[in-house]
Amino acid sequence: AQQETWKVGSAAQPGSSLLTIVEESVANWNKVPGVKVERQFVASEQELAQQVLRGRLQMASISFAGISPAGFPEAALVNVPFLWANEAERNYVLDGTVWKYMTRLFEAKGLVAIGIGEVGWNGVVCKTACPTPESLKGLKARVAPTPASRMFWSAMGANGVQMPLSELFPALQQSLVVAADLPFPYYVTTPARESAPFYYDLRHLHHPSLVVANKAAWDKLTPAQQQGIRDGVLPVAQQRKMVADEIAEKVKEFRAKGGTYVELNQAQRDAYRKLVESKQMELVSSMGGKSTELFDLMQAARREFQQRRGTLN
Amino acid sequence: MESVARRTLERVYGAEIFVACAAFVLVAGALISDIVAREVLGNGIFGAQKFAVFCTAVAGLLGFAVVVHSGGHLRVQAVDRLFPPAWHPTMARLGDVVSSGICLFFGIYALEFVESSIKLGETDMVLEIPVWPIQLAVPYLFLVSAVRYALYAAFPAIRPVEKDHE
Amino acid sequence: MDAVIRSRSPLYWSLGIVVAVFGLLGLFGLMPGPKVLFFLVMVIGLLVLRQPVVLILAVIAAYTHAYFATNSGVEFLLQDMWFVVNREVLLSIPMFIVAGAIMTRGSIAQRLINVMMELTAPIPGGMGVAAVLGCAVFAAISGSSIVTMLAIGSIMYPAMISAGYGKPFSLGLIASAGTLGIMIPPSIPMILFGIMTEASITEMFKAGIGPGLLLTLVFAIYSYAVNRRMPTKPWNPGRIGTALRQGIWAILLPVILLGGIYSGYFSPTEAAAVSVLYALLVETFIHRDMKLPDYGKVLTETVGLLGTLLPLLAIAASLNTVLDYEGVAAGWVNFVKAHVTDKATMMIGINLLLLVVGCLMDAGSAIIVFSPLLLPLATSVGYDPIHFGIIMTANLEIGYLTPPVGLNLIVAMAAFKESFWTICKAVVPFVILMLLWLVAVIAFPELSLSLAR
Ligand code: NA
Ligand code: NA
Repeated sequence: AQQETWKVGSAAQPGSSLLTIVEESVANWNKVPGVKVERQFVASEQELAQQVLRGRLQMASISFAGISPAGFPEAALVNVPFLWANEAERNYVLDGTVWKYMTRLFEAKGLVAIGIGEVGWNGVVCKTACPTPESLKGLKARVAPTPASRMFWSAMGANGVQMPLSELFPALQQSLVVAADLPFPYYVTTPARESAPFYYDLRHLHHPSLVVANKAAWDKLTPAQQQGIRDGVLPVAQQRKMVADEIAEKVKEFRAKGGTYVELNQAQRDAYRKLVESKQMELVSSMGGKSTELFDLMQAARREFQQRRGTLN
Repeated sequence: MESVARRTLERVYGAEIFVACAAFVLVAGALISDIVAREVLGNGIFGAQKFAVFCTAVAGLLGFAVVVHSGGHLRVQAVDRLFPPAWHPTMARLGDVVSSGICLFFGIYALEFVESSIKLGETDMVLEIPVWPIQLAVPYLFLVSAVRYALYAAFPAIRPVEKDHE
Repeated sequence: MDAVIRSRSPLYWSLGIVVAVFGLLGLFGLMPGPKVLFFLVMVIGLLVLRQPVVLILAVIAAYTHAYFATNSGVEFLLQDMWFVVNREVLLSIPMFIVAGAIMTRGSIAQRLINVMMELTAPIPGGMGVAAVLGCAVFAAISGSSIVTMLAIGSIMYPAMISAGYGKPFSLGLIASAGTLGIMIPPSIPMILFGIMTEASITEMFKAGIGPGLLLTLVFAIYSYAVNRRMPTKPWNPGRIGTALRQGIWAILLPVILLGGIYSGYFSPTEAAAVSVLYALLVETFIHRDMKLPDYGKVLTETVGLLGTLLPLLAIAASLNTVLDYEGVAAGWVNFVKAHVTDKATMMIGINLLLLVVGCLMDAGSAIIVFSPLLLPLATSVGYDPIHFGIIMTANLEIGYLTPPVGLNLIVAMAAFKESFWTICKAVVPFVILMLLWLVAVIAFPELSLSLAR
């Protein structure tokens, strides 16, 4: 069937690997016979989620955090600070258990989950050096509008100031806040790079993303077209590599311009993790929906992963 | 009947004004408390700003209904001179019927919008509460305005005097 | 004169709506057909039946969603309305209006006026110059045009009126100087430009300083020139002293606001709430001019203003979304691309396009939609990306003052209780000045770039 032109909404900014990922997927989709897709920039992910659920946009490429308030509180589980022991474990649980579970939840509310993707990690940004968890104590820090961000900064003992992203850059300039947490590729494109030139690669919070379609629109496609769209999403492994490469390149640039980028080792990360771990369960049970059920499944999958690795070793 | 309608509308207006004014007080209160909490107590109030946004939304949306009650919405009066003055009262009543219909139309769509919000389970990211109770202000403003205009059509004497904007 | 405006302005409103309707049809390239004919008949019918303007606009927007936009419907107008009221940007508007109303009804405004009048007594147009400088200073801490206009205007507008300045001049000056908010850094549209085009936001901020100061100077000189025949008095230390003594609490307000933002105690948005609290405390406990019922009146008034403002902002935002989703922007840009190639005509074409866009869209939406499309065009004929970002911001800054979607016009209408038409006319001389300034910004890249690099 020849389809009307579809729009895939995305908040990805020009120059980010995220946008490249969306654009390459769009190019792949347009090779499917009878399928025509265009990218539509939507600044607010919260609004983007509503647009695709209500059918104004046929598809969206959106972060788990962005879709969570649209009736999927469970999606925010993947943002729990220091949730993962390492990337291999994360990939195993995320791409398996979590994806399968969320797919069913999406389906029940009229969304078709098409593919999983990668945005990157958050690290901590400071106006002056803040190399240890202790140095964050009492600092005025920007808290993002999510429970996970609130939990992280309160675990650090920071003086949390919650504000939308648009207010963050003037706020850093005027020292209304002196610390924040942001993904590095985003951070280096903003004035925060100069007003807060210390970046610590904590990797406390990981942002996966996903591609979803409005089910009513999706059902109008032939099975061959549907399969073509599924196959057109860039493989998540490739996406993860693209994001990592982008960061490596931007770190070099950032250092050359005089910024401080600190890579933490396992022991250093564990010092932060220790402060957060005791609050993880509280956060999970506050999330609502079937969060605890999914979290239990995730824990089981982690044990399974560790056992497997144990036998392999 | 006419006096009942007038009194009822006055009471509804009073309630709307009360809620909207209280909302403004809460906005100022929330923002100030947040500042005091972080500057004096060492930890800001998570969600204070979002709470203030919702209060502003409610005040502004109720404000639409309030303006209907006080005859403050701007009208295009140019066409008045095209018709003999004797027709004006009838045309005003007809106009109110149409206004009522338009408000009813949007009111129904607004109700459907809120209903879909409930079904989808949309929540606010910061406050972790369902958003539909706040969204109810949207159908409210249209439906109450529909009733107001309908009563003005039925009892032209209670129609507010139009404010002179120009 | 007022009587003439009174009898003619409704006619302009009707004309305006009809022109807007045809403009809308033109945007979508719609030819007369049953849908379009019915639409026109319906709008004329609503005009004849004296429907409230806001309801007519809502019907126009709903019809656009249902019949002209692809894959949309009336429910999405309602959804967009919710999106608008659910944003933080809305927060400071009613707070600054409340603060202004308290200060005007109480005596803070009057006392500030006295101080300002004494200090600027020897300068013709001095109060106007003070208003412009006030906007420039506030612009250095606020990234928004509306917030700057409201923060300074709520004090300076009543001051200028009571000092004998003409209403059109005062309105025009406040509304126009408010737009400095997005040219003098920080600036929300510049942040958006940086995000959308990968231009350095820091360099954008630095590049805005020169043009921002130039525009401040232009407005200040204009204020001086227009009012040069106003009576002046020499400075009188005795009277200045009295005014300062009586106005000490009033003067502290701007000091606290600016100081609080500069030293990181609160954000410009929160400053609105701080000024409400401060005005409340001073008027109640120190000046003792305000009683509880007075506060009731102030709040009631603000509820009405917000109730007028909000639907207009919502409808404007919703139509912006339609324009965006329909790909109208790309169509226009391609038209420019197809018809011009050399640097000069390209720049004229882009600027005309942006001025038209500024009439229909708010600066933020316009930057998001147009900057990725236009920047490659501009750089292809040799413009520096940062310089072009400033040119774009300058164009859209003028858009705050051009109807139908001119946010400073719409907010000033509600905040200063004047008709839309009165304000539109009031800003005309300032828009002309800004067009000349725009030419200077384009012609002299060093004005922007010397500080940025
Ligand atoms: Na500014
Ligand atoms: Na405009």
